[in-house]
Amino acid sequence: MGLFVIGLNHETAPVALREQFAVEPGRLAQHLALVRSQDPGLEAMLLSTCNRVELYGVRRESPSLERASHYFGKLPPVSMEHFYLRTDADAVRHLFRVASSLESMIVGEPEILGQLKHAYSVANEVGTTGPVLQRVVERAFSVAKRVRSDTEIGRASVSVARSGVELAKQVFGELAHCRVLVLGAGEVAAGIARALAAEGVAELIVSNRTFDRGAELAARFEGTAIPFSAVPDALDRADIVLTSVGGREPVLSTKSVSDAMRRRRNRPLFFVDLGVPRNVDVDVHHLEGAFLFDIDDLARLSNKGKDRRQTAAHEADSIVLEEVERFVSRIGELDAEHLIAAWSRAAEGVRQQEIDRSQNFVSELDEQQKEQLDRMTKSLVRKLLHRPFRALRTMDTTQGDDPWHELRKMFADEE
Amino acid sequence: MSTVFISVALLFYVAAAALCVARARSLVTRFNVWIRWGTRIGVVFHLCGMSVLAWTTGQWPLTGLADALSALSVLVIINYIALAATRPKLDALGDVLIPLGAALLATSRFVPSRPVPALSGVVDMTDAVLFPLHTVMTFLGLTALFVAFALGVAYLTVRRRLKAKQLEGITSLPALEVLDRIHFRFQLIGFVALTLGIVFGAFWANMRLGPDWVTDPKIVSSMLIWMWYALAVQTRLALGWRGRAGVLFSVFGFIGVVVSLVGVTLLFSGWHGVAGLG
Repeated sequence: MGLFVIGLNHETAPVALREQFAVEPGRLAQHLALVRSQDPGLEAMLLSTCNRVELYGVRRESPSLERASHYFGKLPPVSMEHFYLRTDADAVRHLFRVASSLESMIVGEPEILGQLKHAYSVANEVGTTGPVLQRVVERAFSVAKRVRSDTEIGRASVSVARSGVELAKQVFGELAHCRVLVLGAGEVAAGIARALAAEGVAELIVSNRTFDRGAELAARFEGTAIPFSAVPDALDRADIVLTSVGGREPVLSTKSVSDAMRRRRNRPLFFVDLGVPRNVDVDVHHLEGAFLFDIDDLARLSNKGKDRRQTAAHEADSIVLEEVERFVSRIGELDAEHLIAAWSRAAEGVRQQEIDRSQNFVSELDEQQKEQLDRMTKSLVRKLLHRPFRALRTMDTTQGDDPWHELRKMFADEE
Repeated sequence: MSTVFISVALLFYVAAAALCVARARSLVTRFNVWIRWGTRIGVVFHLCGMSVLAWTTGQWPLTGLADALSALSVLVIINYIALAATRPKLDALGDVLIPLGAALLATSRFVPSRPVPALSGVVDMTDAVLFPLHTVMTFLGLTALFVAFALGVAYLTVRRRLKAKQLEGITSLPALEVLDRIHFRFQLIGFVALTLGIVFGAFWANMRLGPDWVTDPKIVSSMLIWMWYALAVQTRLALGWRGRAGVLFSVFGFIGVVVSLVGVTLLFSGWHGVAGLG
């Protein structure tokens, strides 16, 4: 199949490292084009979220970890142990698990599927997808839907939103007098905003770079939307700030928060930064009265109810395994049909060539004889290919070796 | 008889304090009920002991250092019981207040139990209203400042854990803003009560003792403490010094109060001093 995935995630690399590799949604296309220029035959899709940066690729031979890591461009000095490389069925399983939110830091969070769809649509637009990648990614979407509908995995993400609320309560006690400022309109931030709104916070203010999206989120929670330029002033009256904004530079610098703290006369300000790269300067946490937590902290706190989530995750994983098995055997069949079609086309080409070469002889034949010759040569080709085609169709592709590889080579030119 | 009651009370306090230490180390809550009931029973014995003492001696029970420490001890423990009953998460204050109450009562067993010599014959239970008001307000003020100290320590603990992101089990502790708010309330109550205690004392002393009382070492140290807490209240109200800055006033103020209450009383003679007593 040739599918591989290389990447790093919240389990293999800290956020400080992940953010060096993170690719903003707007730059995915550009980065994919660069990858393609390195390896023109590669099918590729780049997924960059708060918790992971991964390149899914398809090539004849899976690359080594070292080779694949170069797809990320010039690497900062970093140990290879932060990266992982999975190939073939393992890569399929990984992708299905990612799409189903089983690989997420917050197991069951809904945002990953949207991010994966965006990554796929960008790869399609840039033209870096191919038949294998298209089939596996589209299958991943179906698997994710099945996992979400057949298990309680979606409920797991509620606990992280709950953790955000618990932590806010640890600072403020009751939240009824608190004002919440949401920067960005991401799903995880929206989940926490929803949980805070349920606590009856005094006011919910939303600000997004695209004002309309922010207004949409504000309307969902009966909040107010403000333009992004008004954020520094909003810091004066907010108590809780949730950030989930794209961009390489922090949206809230230590200085801007420090200035706000002075104007607030040191009333506490509680931040939950869900962005990767992070939206709030990490030094903000050292300011008196300011408390900054990121998604890793919330996930650590949400260990309560772990058993229930683990049960849901276990059920979801069984579904994923079943789907991987089905897909791998199916992709074998699809590969076989693909090969048979190519082989048939090649054989037909040879037959036509031979007829053309015998044009002097053929031209002397009447129409009925020409038809007989045509039928006979077609039958000959069909019978010659019957056995190998039957062998291809009945081959068990799940048993390790890739028998297609050698066969493909025979038709490399035709493909 | 009073000694027996108070010794039993001390035993209960020490046992509750030991359970608090065990609870703080293992982060378990199953000792909470024992701690709560241990302190309640201790308070009953303690109040019985104090009543018997006042009855048998016929003395106002705040005229000696031992009496004072004993009274502060019971007031501190009662405050803990009341706070924990109001807000279950404030039960954590027991980790500071119960050992403090136990230490105050234990110390009272080792300091001279006789009244301050200079007050001998000057004060009895039939004295004017001003002396009881002076002592009651002062002791209520000191108690409030002790509780403010405990709230301050709790505030610094929760703040440190939030800053260090040590989040495991943190939700069982009181919220930072709640601690800050209640802390300031106690700081303010302590300051106002201490002010009234000083004012009533000044009036009483002026009437009964003449002009000599102003240079009394305890009065000098008390005035310094009063100024320190006046600064704490003023910076909070005028400059918004809240949170850590506010509670640090209480933490350092507590050291001053202990030095003044025990050190100055033991080392100096005068209207509050017991220096020279065995």
